[in-house]
Amino acid sequence: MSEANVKGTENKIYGFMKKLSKEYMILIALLIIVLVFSFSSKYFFTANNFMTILLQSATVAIVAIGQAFIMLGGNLDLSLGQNVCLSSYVAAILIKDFGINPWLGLLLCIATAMFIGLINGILVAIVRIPTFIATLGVMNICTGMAKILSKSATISNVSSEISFLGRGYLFGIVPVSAVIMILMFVLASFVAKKTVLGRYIYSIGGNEEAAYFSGISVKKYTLISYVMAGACVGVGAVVLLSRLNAVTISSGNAYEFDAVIGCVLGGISLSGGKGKVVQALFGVIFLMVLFNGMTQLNVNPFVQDVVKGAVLIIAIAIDVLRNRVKN
Amino acid sequence: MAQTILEVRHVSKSFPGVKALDDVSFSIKEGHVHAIVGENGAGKSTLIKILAGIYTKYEGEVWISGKKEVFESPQMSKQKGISVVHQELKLSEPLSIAENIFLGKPLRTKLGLIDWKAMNRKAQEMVDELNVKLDVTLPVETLTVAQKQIVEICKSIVAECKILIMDEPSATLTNKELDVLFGIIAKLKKDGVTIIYISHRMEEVFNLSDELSVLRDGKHIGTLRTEEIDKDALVNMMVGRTVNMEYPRSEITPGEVLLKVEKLTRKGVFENISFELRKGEILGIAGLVGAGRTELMRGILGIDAVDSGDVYLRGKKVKYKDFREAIQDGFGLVPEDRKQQGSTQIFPIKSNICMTDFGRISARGIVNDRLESQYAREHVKTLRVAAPSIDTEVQYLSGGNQQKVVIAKWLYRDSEILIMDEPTRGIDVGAKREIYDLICELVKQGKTMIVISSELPEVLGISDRILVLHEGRLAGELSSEEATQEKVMNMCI
Repeated sequence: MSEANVKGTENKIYGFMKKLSKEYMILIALLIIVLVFSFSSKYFFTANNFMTILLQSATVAIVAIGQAFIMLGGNLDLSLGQNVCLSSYVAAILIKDFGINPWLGLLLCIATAMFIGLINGILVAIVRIPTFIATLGVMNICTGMAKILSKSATISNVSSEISFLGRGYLFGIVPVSAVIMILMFVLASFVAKKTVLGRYIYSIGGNEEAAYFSGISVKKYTLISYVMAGACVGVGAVVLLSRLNAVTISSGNAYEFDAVIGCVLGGISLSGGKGKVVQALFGVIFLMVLFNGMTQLNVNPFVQDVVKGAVLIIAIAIDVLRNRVKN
Repeated sequence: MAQTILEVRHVSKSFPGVKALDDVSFSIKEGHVHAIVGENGAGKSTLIKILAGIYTKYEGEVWISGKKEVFESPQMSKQKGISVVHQELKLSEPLSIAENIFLGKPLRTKLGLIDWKAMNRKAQEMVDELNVKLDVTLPVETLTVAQKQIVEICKSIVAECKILIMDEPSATLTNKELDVLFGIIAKLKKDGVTIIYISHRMEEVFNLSDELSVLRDGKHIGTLRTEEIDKDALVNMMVGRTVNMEYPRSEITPGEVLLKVEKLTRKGVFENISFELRKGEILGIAGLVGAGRTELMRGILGIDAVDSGDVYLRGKKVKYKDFREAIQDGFGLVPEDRKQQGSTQIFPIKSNICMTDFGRISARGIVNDRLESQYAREHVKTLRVAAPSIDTEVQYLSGGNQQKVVIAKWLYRDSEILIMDEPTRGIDVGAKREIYDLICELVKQGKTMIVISSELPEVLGISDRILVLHEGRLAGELSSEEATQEKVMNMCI
C-alpha cells in the first residue's frame, strides 16, 4: 500500500510538472529571455526598466483580455487596436472641446468601445459574417471615424485630473496602471473560470455545434463576448489616454495583433475553447520584454518588426502542432 | 489455388499507452474478397493506415506479390497498386464527378490542354459499366454518400489498383445502395481486383467475403475461409466471449399520450406526418437514410422551421422557435453525429455532461466545481462509462463510451423524452448491447424514448412500436408483435 502511495505522490509531482511545462511554457521562456537580456545589457535588469515594461504592457495586456475571451469563444477580433484609438479620441474630444467632466469622459470612452464591440458581435453572431472579415471591416471603420473626428491631429493635455490613472504610483512605488491591469486579470480569470458566463463562452469555443445541441444560446453569448472585449478595450484606452495625457492617430495601433500574439504565446488556442485568461498576461509581458530587450541592445526597429512577425508565426505553429498531435 | 498477393508479417504498432497492433501476421489471396472484422479498437483502422502508407513507423514487414515493401507515403502505397476508400470520403466537392475521377491525372489533348470531352466520355463509360445511373458532369456535392463512394471506387480504377481496401463502406448506406455496392464489388472481383473489406455488419461479411481475418485487441485471432464459420462463432472470435444478442425488453405498459404530432409538414422534406408517443414507450423510427427521419425530429424540436401542422405536449399545443425551448419542456436529443454535434471532444467528461444545464451547478451565476464533479461522477457511475476519471477528455474514449457521455448529458438534465438518432452507429457489438440495456433501464425509470435507426434488427428488437418513413411520408406504423424485417423493409422501399 505504501508503495502505491509513493507512486501516487510521484505521479502527482510528475503530473504537476507536466502541467506546468504545458500550460506555463511561456513563463519558462520568459525566464530565459530575461536572463539573456540581463547578461547582454547593463540597463535591462534595473527596477526602472521593469517599471517601464510594466507601464508599456498595461494597455496591451488589458486589450489582450478581450482578445482572450473572443478567442476562447472560437473567434477573433481585429478591430481592438483601432477601437482603442477611436474611443480614446471620443473621450479626449468630449473632455477637451466640449468640456465635460473628465470622469464622465472616461465612462463614455468605455461605452464607445463597448458599442463598437456590440457592432462586431452583431455582425459575427447574428448576421454570421466570418469573424475575420467582419472585424477587419469594423477596424477600418474605426480608423476612418477616428481620422474624421480628429482630422488626424494629436490631442494633448487632455486632463490633468485623470492622468494619475496612467502615470501615478500607489504608495509611491506601485504604478496605478499596473494595479488596474492586475485587477482586470483577476476579474477576467474569475469570470472565465468560475462563472456560468465563462462556461458558456468556453463551451461555444470548444465546439459550437455541440454547444447548440446542449441548449446554449450561441448567438447571445458570442455577442456578449464581443461586448466584453469592447469593455476591455475601453479600460485599456482609459489607461493609455491617461498615461500619455494625449491621443494620437497611432494610439492603439496594432494592439490587436500584439494581443493575439500574447494570447497564442501564452497558450490560448486559436481554435477556441482551450486556455486560461492569465496566460494572455504572461504572453504579453513576454512580448514586451522581448522588444524592450531588443531596444536596449539597439536592434534596428525594422528588424524588430520582422521578429514580431516571426514570433506570431512560431506561436501559431506551436498551437497548430499541439492540436495536431492530439488528432 | 490463388496466389498470395499481400502478406503482413509480425506487424506491431504502438501509440502512447496502447498497443494498437500486436505481432499481426496473415496473408491475403489474389482476387479474393477478404473481410477484416473486429470490434472498435481491435486495430483494423491502424492496419489499414499502415497499408495505405499513412502510418510509416511500425515494426514488422509488408510483402506485396512476394516483394517486401516499405511505404513512406500514401503515394508510394498507391503506386504499388493499393487504393483505399476511407470512411471519410476525400473528394473535391465543387468539382464534377469526371474531374474527381481523373483528379491528379487528367486526360490531355495533343496541345496539352485538358481534354474535357474524352474525360467525360471515359468517366461516363466507367460509371455505366458499374451499372450505376449517374451523370458524370454533376458536381460531387450534389451526390449522396453512396454515390460519392462510387466515385472513389472509380478513382481507384483509374489508379489501376490491384488491391482495393474499403473501410466500413456500408456504415451509412441504405439497403438498396448496398446492393449496388455489392454488384460493383462482384464486378471488380471478376476483373481480378483483390478487395479488403472492413465491416461491422455480419450479414455483409458472410455474403461477400471468401476469407476473413479476425482482430481483437490488436492481436490476430485467426484467418479462415468464410464458409467454415457461422455467425455465432465469429462473434465469439471477435469479442472473446459469448454475447447475448437478444434484445432486452422494458416490459412497461405505455401510459397516457405524452406527445402528439398532427400533420406536420416541411415542404420537400417531410409531409403530413401524424403520430402519438405514450409515456414509457420506446418508439422506433425506421426508414432509409434521407427518408426525413432526422429532419422530422428537428422540426418537432424547433431546430428547423416547419411549414404547417401542430405538436401537442401533454395535450397542450407547443410551437418551439428554438431548440432551447424544447429542452426546457423536457426533450433531450442524442444527435446522429456523436463527435461533431453530441460532444465537445477536447473537453473533459464532466464539462460535457454538465453542459446541458449550468443552472444546476451554479448559484447566482457562479459555478460550484465540486457540485459539477459530483454530478458527473454520479452519471459516469450509473452509465458505467469506462474512463480513467471524469477529467479525461472525451476524444480519448471509445465510441461506446463517448455515446454514454452524450446520453449522460440528458440524464443530468433530467429530460423526460429522449430522442436518439442512430444511437449505436459505429459502436462495437459489446457496447451496443450496453446501450440497449441502458435504453430499457431508462424507460423503467420513467423516461420515454424515440429511437431512430437504420439497422433493422436493432429498431425491431428494442421498440414497442415502429413508424416507417419513406421519402418524407409516413409509410406505416407497426407494433413490435406484427413487425418483421420483411414488412418494414417493404415499407422502406
